[in-house]
Amino acid sequence: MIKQTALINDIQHFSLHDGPGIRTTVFFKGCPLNCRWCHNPEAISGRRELMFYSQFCTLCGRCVEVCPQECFSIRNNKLNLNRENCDNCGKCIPTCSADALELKGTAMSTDEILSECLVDHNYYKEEGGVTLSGGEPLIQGEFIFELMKGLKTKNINIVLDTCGFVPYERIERSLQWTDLYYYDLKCISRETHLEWTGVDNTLILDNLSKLLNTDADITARIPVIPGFNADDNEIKLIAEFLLPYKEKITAHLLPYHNLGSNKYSSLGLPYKMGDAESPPKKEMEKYAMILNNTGIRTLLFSK
Amino acid sequence: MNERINSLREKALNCAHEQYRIRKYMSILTDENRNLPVIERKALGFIKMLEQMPKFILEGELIVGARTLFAPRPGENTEGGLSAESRLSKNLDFSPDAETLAVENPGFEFYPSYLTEEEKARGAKVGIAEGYVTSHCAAGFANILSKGFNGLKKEAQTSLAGFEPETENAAFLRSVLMIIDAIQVFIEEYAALAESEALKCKEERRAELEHTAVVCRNIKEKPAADFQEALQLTWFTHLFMLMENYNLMSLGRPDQYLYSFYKSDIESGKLNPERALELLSCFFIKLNDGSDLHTDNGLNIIISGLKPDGTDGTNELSWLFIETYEQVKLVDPQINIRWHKNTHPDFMRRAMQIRGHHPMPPMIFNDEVLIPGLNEMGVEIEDARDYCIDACQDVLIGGKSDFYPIFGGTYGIHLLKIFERVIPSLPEHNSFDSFYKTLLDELRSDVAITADETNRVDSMLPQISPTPVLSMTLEGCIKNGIDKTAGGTKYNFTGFIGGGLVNIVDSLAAIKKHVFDEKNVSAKTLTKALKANYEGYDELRLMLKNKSPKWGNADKIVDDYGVEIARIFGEEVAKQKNSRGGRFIPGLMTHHQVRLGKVVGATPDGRAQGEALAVSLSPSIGQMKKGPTCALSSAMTINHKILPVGTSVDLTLQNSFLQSEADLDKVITMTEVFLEGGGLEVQYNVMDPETLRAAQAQPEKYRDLVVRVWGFNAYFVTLQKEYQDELIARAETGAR
Repeated sequence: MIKQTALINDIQHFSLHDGPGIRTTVFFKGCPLNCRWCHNPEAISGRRELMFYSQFCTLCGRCVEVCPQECFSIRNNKLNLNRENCDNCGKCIPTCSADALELKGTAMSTDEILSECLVDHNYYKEEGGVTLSGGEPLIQGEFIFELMKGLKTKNINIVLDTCGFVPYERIERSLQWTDLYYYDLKCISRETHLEWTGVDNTLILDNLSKLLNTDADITARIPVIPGFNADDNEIKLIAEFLLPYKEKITAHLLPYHNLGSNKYSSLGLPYKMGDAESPPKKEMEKYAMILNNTGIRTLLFSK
Repeated sequence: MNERINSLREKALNCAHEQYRIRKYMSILTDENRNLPVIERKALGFIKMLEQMPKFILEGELIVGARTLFAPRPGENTEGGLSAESRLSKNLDFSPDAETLAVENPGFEFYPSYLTEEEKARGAKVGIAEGYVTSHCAAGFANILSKGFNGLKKEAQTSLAGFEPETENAAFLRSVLMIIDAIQVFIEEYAALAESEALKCKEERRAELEHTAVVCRNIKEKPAADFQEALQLTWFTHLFMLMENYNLMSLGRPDQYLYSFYKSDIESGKLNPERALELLSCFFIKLNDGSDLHTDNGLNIIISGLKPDGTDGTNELSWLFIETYEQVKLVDPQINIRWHKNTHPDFMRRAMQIRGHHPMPPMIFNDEVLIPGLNEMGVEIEDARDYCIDACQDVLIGGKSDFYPIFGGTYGIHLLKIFERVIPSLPEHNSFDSFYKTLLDELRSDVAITADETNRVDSMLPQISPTPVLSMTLEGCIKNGIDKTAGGTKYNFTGFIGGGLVNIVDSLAAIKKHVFDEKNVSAKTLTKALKANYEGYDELRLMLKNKSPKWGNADKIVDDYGVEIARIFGEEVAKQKNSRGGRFIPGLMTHHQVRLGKVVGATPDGRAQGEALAVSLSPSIGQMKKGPTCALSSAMTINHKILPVGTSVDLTLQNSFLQSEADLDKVITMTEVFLEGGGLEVQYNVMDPETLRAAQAQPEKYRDLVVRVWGFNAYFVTLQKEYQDELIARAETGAR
C-alpha cells in the first residue's frame, strides 16, 4: 500500500543552490546516514521532532499546562524540556505564541506538496523546478515516486538530491522522472566513511558507478569537511573515482560550515564538530584544482 | 575615476561650496509692488534670489552654478520669508512637523516673502503657507533644450499678445518674461565669472573656463548645441526648479532628452566616450549640490524604456549613466530603469549589477503595465510611453503633467488611520464580513472626503503660490497663458497615494482567524489590548504576530484582502475630479514607514504603536517566511494597472544573491516573472547588517555609505537612528 503522506521538514522557495534556475526544495525527514557534520540534523530522524528555540521563550508557561506527558517545567527562570517523555504530539505548538517551539516533520500528501511547489510554477521557466532533498527522498517508499510522477504531469524539472545509500532498484526507478541527480560523494576510504557517517560506502559507490553508466545527468556533491576529507589524498581518491566519467560528471565542492550548529541545541543534541572551522578559500581552490586538473569539471561554492 | 572627478567628488562630500552660501531671509514686498498680481510678485521673489545668490566656480568644474542662498540656521534671524518647514501643509492627519527625516539641517531653502498679511491669512485658512509648493514634478527639459530661453520668450510674447493686460493669463505671461530676463542675466553673470576666473588660470584650465563662458553665453539664449551645453542647460534648468520648489524635483528621462546631443557630438568627433563620462560625472556631482542639506533629495533619473514611438529607447547614454553612477558613487542621482518585454537582456543584467559601495540594483518600472494604465487614465499613448518618475517614485509625464500628491496627508492617505477609526466597532460586529464591509465603506467615503479636501486647498494655490518657473517649461502653460497650479499644462492630475495596505491586510487576516474563526480572543479583549498598546497583553500580541497568516507569502486568503482593498481604492480614486479640470490618479505605496508607524496605534497584526509599517507592498518586517518569490507572487495578485501613479515592492536580499553570475541570473528571472505577471515596480535592497551596524557605531568611517530607504537613496549615517534601526532589521530578516 502506498503511504498517503510523508514527513516534510520544510519546503523552501527560491532555493538558489539546489540546482539550475529558480527552484523549490522539498526537504524530507529521515536519512539512513548520520553524518557528524550534518547541517540539517532535524532531517536525520525519520520521526517528528520538537525543536525548542530558548532565545524566543517568554516563559509564559502555556506549554507546561498543556503537555500531556509533562515534559516541560520552569525552574530558575528557565524552561526545561525533558525529551525522554516527549511523544511529539505537538499539543504545545499552537500554545506557543512566541514561536519558540516548532514540530519538525509535517505529514503532507503528494497533492499538498505539489500545490505548495506550484506556488512558484511561474518562476521555474525553462531551467528551474523542484529539488527533492532531505533527509533522503529515496527512502520514502512509493510516496516519492508518486510525487515525482505528479511533478512530471505538470512538466516540472526534477533534481533528486540523494545520499545514494538505497537499493539500486530505487535509483533505477527514479531515472524515468529525474532530470538531474545531486549525488553526495563524501569520501572513498571505507573506514573513514563508516566512522563519520555511520555507514559503509560500498553501496553508495557501487550505486554511483551504476548510475554513471546510464545516461542520467549527474552532479557529484562533495562536502569538504575538516578532519574527514579535507586533505589532498581524499580529494585525489575522489578524482580517481570520477576520472572514468569525467566527460559526463560535474563536481561541486561545498565547504563545511557550522551554520547548522544552533539546530543541534534546539534539538537537544550535542554538536559533534566542536569548533571546527570552514576550510579557507585558498584550500578549497586547491581541491578544486586537483579535480579540475584531472579533467573533472568542478564548481566551487562558498559557504 | 580621473583626478578631476576624484577631487570634485571629495569636495562634494566635504561640501566645499558651503563657504559660498549665505543665509538670510528676504522679502520683495514694497508699497509699489503690493498691488501686483500674486504671480508677478512671486516671480519677483525668484528674480531677487537669482540676483542675490553668490556665484562661484570650483577648481576643475566643467558644469557650473549652485544654489547659495538659504534660510538662516535655527536661532539665527528668522524675520520674514519662510523656510521649507513652514511650507508643509498644516492640515495633516498626523505629525505636522513632518520632515522628521531631515536631521539637524544646517539651514533650509526658502523663498523670499511676497504675500500681504491678508493673503497669508487666506492661505493659512486652508492650511497652505506662503510659498507652499507640491514639488514632485519634473521640468520640461526637452522643451528648454530644443527651444532655448529665447524660444520660450518668443512663445510667451506671442501668447501675451492674445490676452488683455489685466487678465490672469497676461499676469502669468508677464511673470514668465520677467523670469526669463533674470535667468539670462544670471547665466551671463556665470559667463563673466568664468571669463574672469580664466584670467587667473594656466593654459588648460584657462581654456576650459573660457569654454564655460562660451557655453553659458550660448545657452542663455539659444537651444543647446552640443552635449556639454545640454548638460549645463539641464543643470541650470533643474537649479531653477529647485529654487522655486525647494527640493524633491526629478530629472525625468535624461538618457532620452540628452541623447541627440551626445550622438551628434560622438559622430562629429567632438566628443569621445571618455570625455562624455567626465562631463557626465561633473554633472552628477553637481546634482549633489544640496545633498548635505537633506537626507532625501529625490534626485531621480529614469533610464531606458520605450520611446514615444513604441520602440526601445535604451541607448549608449543609458549605459553611460550606469557607468557614471558607479564612478561617482555619491548619493545622487538615483538610477531607475524602465523595463518592457523587448528590453535587451544585457542591459537588464548590467542594471541589476549597479554597484555603489555595495550592490545598488535600480528600481525597475514596468512599461507593460504603466503605459496601458496611464493610457486608460486619459494619457495619449505617445505621452504615456514617455512617462518618468518624480522625486519619490510616483509616475508622471515629464514636462507635460502635474501629478502632485494630495493634501490631507504628507504624501497620501494613511489607510491605517481609517482602519484605526473602524476597529473600536469590532465588538459590535457578529461576523467578519460585517466588520470588513464597514471598513470598505469607510475607505470609500474617506477617498471622496480627501479628494474634496484636496480640491479645497488645491484651488487656492494659484492665489497663494503659483509656480511660473516650472510652468513655463511645461507643455501648454505658455500657450494657454495659465500657470500649472491653475491647470495650464497638458495633464492636470493629482496623484492620490494610499499607504499602510499591508498592515491592514495582516490585521484583517489576524482578526478573521483569531476572533471569528478560532475564537482565540474576543473582539472586546482585542480592542482593549489595542487601546493599551498591548501592554499587559504580550502573549496576545505574539500570537497575533506569529500565529496569523501574513501578506507576502502567496496565501490566497490573505492576498485577496489586498486585492479587494486595492481595487476599491483604485476605483474610488479614479472617480474623483480635481479643481484643475483633471482627475485623481491612484497609487499604493507606504513610505515614511517609521513616521507613519508612530502616528497610528497598535494594530491587530501584532504591531505595537511606534513599530514601523511594512514598506509599500512588501511583507512586514520578518514576515517574508517563504522567500522573495512568494512575496512577489502576493504583490502580483493586485491589479497594478489601475494604480498608475505607482505601487512598489521593496525586497531586501542577501548580499550574496547578487554576487555570482548564476545567482544574479536567478534574481533577474524572478524579476522578469514578476514584471511579466503584471507587477508594476520592484526594487531590491542589498544590505549587509554587519556593515550597517558598523556604520551606526562609527559614522565617520561610513560617511558615503548609500542605502535605499524607500523610493530614495540616502547616506546611511545621515538617517535618524529609528530609520537606521529599521534598515538593519530589514537587512537581518529580509532574506534567509
